[in-house]
Amino acid sequence: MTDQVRIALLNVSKRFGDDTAVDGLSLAIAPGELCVLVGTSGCGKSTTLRMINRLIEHSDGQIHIDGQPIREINEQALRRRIGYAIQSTGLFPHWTVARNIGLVPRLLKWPNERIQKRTRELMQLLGLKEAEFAGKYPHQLSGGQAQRVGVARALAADPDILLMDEPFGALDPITREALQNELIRLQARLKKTIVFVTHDMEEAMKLADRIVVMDGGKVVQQGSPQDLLMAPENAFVESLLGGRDRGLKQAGLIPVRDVMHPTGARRQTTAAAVSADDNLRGALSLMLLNRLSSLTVVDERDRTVGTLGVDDIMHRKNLLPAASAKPTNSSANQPASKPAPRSDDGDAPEAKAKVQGVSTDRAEKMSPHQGSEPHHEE
Amino acid sequence: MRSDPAILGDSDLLAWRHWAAPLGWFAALGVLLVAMPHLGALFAAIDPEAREPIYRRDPFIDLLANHLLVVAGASSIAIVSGVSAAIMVTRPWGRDFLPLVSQLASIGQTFPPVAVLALAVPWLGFGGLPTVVALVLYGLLPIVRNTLVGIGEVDPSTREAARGMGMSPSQVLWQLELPLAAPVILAGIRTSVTVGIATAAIGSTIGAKTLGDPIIAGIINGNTAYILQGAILIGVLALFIDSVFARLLPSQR
Repeated sequence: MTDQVRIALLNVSKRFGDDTAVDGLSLAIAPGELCVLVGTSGCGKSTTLRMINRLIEHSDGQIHIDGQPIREINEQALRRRIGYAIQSTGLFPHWTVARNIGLVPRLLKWPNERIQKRTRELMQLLGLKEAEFAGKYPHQLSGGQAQRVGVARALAADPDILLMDEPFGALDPITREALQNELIRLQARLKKTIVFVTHDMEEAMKLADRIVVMDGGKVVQQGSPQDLLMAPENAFVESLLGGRDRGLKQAGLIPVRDVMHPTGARRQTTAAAVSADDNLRGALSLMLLNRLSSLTVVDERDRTVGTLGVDDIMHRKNLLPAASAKPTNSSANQPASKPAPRSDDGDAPEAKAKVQGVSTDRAEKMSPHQGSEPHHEE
Repeated sequence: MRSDPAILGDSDLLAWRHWAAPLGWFAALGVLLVAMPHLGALFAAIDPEAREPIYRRDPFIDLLANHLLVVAGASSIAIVSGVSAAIMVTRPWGRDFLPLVSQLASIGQTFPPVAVLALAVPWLGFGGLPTVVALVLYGLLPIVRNTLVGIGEVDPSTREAARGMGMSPSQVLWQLELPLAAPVILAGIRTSVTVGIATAAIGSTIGAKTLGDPIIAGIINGNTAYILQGAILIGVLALFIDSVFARLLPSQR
């Protein structure tokens, strides 16, 4: 169990006075998983995150990290082994970038040379030129640069776990996308266990191995981005997914590479070209833009590697991504998800089991749950 | 170690040219102390009716030293108690005392120092001690208020990040809150000390030896020259101390 689950929340609740912010939440996050908590403001996602490093103490239930209840760990020691990045960065305004990054190593009393070496490493990792940035103060940085420093600081002591509370929420769209890509790149390399909070479903789709949709302090649905798009649990999840843009979003999760015909198959090359690493959404957009029904597919060195026609997209079976697209994810080995809609508080255990059984079978999920009533077949 | 621009400005604190104003006022004070006893003719011209144009009961240097001692004692007490009280009531466990402390500090300042002297003499006798008490009460408010403001201005999300990184409460205080609040706290101390230098003169009414002595003597004897001599020295002393603080505080950006 302990080597399968890095962070476990068992029936965790948090009450502030009479308000219940988080209500009986259970979640198990595997090592190396990037788990995104999504929901509207006030749904308890931030509270959940902050309970993991004890910035907020949970009222009920248990939270374990690597099998150990977090209440048994000294709170400062616990936080020093968990990276923490927040929207406003929280950089110390009177410290230089280098000193900010070295904060946790200094708290852990690393020797000075080691702190310096680590700081240098991290600045390089996050694309911050040491000569330019090491001596700067936070007020001299742009939003994106400051957030890079914030992430570097969170990674400084090489924690296994990273908690990120809407880290890119205050950035402009272009910077945000650059940093999202950076995070994907970093995660592919570092394989941290990341809990990421956002209200932006696009961001969640892009980053997540698993998305946990929360509402009213409870989990409404959890699964891979594909799972959610295929079968949103209820109208709330569907509206978060963007309503009628769902088709495009789904296409956005499928790489062109998986659908194209490798060169020499059957079609002529066309005027416009799409990268094999792009997704079907991008390809469709290019087709619309250039009024073409097929595109040339090129690799990163601009060599033609295949063709993609609009028919290929349409006739793609169920628009399902290849099973290998998101290897770390499978709803089968997760603990009981709580797919109950908000209104339905007293759901019977067998109803839960039934919905879960369905959710593991992707092929069947295409048709039934299109409407707003997830339990209408019961 | 890099110098910290938030507190010291981007310049080197020790560069002598930045100390020009304090050095100038210090020199002026020295010159006045030495020259005053020899300016009998000048003060006789200002106040022809005075029997004796120069105050000679005590040397000015003694009065100045004692004046400074009273102010230094009172300010040290006010700084230590004011800053620590303000820190205490901004901790989670002391937050309940916040209104009490800020009210006490306000009352301290609204209460006239002369009244405090009058009330303190029966308890503490004549001399320096009741003067120190009056000055402490009078000087607390700017220090308490500025410390509260300075700590309150620290961005809550920065404090939250500091806790989230695993800093202990005392590390948050010493490495984050106090360094960021320092300029504001220092400004409060500056006000308190400068006002204290001027106010200490009233200690002379109850027998504390201060630069107020010539002033009180001048009032009693109708000797304008004495009053002027005390007032000039107090004024220059206050300007000197104030210019030292001006140097320590960051320049306005």
